[in-house]
Amino acid sequence: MRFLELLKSDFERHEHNVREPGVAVLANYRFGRVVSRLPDPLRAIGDAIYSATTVATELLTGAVVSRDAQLGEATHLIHGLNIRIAPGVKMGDRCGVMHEVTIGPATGKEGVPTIGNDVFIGVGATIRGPVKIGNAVVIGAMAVVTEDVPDGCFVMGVPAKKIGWPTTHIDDRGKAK
Amino acid sequence: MFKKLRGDYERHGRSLADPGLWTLATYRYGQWLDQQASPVRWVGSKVYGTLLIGIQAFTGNAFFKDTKCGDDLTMPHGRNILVHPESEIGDRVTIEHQVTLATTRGRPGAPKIGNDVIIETGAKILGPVKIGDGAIIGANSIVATDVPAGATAIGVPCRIIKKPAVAVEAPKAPNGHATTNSQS
Repeated sequence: MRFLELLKSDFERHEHNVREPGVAVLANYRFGRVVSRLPDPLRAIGDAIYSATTVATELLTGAVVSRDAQLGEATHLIHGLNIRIAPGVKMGDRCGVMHEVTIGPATGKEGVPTIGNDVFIGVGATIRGPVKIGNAVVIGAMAVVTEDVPDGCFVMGVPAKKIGWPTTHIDDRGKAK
Repeated sequence: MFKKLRGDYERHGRSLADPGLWTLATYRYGQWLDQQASPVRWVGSKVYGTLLIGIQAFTGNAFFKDTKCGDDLTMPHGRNILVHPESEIGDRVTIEHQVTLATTRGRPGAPKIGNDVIIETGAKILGPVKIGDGAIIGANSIVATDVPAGATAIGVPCRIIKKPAVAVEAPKAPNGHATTNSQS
């Protein structure tokens, strides 16, 4: 039942809109997580279905969220197109990820990012390497994050620099927290 | 063509579902077609055009047969890659997703990429620039100037870092201490 609860939290975060590509991508991801925990004969069947649905969602949305990544509940893939989340990435609850975001290992180096709760990642941002992103961080559009970011910080630029600590920040639905 | 295709298949993780492989397969087919005699070429070009539309619709890649491309090009996560037909690419180049190699306004000519270059996610290389052998173009960088061999270019507009960055250093023989650590 955990699967359905997670799916429901994602669906609520996408404002109950089935047409959001993020809903399909996250549903596929949650399904993949369930399949990877199944016992063996069921798992083989589930894997076949999962690989077919993965190819379909990748073709239609360009987003690939690896099922070996760990996303928290109520994740929001805002305009969820062309998102890449590599295996092993850990992401907290209630994160907002915009389109064209890449989260994964740096070129030629092991290690993937760990991201806290309530993080907002702007369009086109890239987070690479074994970095730690704190809670309630805001990452600006097209930023390239290669260093740790403390809690509540706002970073942007290539490579990303700390801009400030917003006391209230706007969440991805446009409401101040 | 089939030997090259086999190499592409091996490099793209032996997965037939890889969009980078589809793009390269279409490119190889287009290159093969250019060497054929007239009737085969005419019929084949219609198939090539259809494949190209399919690739553009489903993967967002624009990678044409007129591009001069060396051996062993890799496109991990091959999506939304745009390569200008006049651009030249060397051997063993890696191009990640969202990369654009294109012309720019007022400066005719397309980029020339050397051997062993890594172009990271979202980088844009614009205009008649030369990227030297073994260079690394950082993620989300915009490159409108020449990049010397072995350098790392990062930023908007890009700054050239002479020494290779630590995070992306080319594989070298590690010293004894590092070797024992990595093996343990």
